[in-house]
Amino acid sequence: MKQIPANCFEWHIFENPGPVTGASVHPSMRMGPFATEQEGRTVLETLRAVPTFRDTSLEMPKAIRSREKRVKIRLGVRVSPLARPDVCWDANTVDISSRGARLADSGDRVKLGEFLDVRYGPREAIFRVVWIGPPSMPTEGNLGLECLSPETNVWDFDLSARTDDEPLMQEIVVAHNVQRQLFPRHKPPLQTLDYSGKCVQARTLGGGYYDFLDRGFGRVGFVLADVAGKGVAAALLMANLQGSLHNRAECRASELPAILAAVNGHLYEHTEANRYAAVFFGCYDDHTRRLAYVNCGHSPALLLRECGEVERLEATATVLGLFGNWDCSVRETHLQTGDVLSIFTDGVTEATSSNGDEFGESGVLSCTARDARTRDG
Amino acid sequence: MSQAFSLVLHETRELETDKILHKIEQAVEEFRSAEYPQDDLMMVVARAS
Repeated sequence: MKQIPANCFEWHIFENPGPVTGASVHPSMRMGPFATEQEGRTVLETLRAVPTFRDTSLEMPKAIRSREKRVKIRLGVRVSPLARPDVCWDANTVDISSRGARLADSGDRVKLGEFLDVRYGPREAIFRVVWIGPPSMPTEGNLGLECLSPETNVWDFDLSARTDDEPLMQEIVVAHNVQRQLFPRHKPPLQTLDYSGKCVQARTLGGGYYDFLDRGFGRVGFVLADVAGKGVAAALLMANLQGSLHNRAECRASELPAILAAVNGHLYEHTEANRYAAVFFGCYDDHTRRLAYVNCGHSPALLLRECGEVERLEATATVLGLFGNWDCSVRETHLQTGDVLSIFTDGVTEATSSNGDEFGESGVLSCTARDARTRDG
Repeated sequence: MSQAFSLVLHETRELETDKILHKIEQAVEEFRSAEYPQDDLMMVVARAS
């Protein structure tokens, strides 16, 4: 007979209330799966010390592993016990499945059976603590969580129908790591301008992209792009755009139309009809303090002058990749000491409150205004 | 200006744009409601000195 490999088994803990089922004070409990027998036994011993289960029979049968797989992935989550809403902390997952998760470094903060609100990005779901890794064990400090509403797909990997597909999930994780590498890892130094960029993705893969292109001689290209769509398709187009701009980007105002027209042609030829990118491309010259820019259907960048006036760097062209015939105009502005330039995607301005209000440009300006910067030290 | 002082000044300036980005991110996170679809937040901030 062919032997089944050890990694094809899993263990569950079942509560068998016995003949007094009707008198049980809680529904029958089922816990797992556990990847190893040792892990299951550890939890079993923990459970037997809990008064609720003292008078019931706990069984831990071995079974062929179901298609529900765990995926090892480190995701940042915010955790808050339902009974203690004033308490919350940041933690990382060790692995996840559509039905649960294992969290690291949280074992000393919760009690067995406690209900936790777990927030991952914009999504959240209620989980129950089903085991706590005991001291001196490999799982020390870990929490085993069972999701009470697995249909919410709190991990949101765009895989609602395939969350049990471990190889595909692992590929998404690899893609996420590859995408992170496409963001700039250093900032070319400038004498007259300090700058920073940030991307907060709502999903594992996104279509947003920013870059600082070092063109030498005190010239830096600032790129901020928002690719249409979400998930894998947007991420692929984002990578395509990044490569196109890196290969072509000179940084003189006179060259911007030709560079962007070439990128537009490339995207138009090699992507589906509904794929396009809104791009802000600015070239800053450290010697002249001038910023030449082309805004391809992107949200206006905001230039908050030191004196308090606001200049909106509006669109000067349509988006890239949507039309074969594409043209633009290049505009320039001069940056003076104390001026603050903010370039942002509409995810910032269109963030919506529970009242239906949008964060808007006024929200951005309130954060960049000098008095706000001074006030917050 | 000494090189050391220049470096310190540069680091201080860098902190300011990072601080503005953090402030925007924090303000958006506090402002937006999970009831609505949420999009990526992508920002570049530059300050002339």
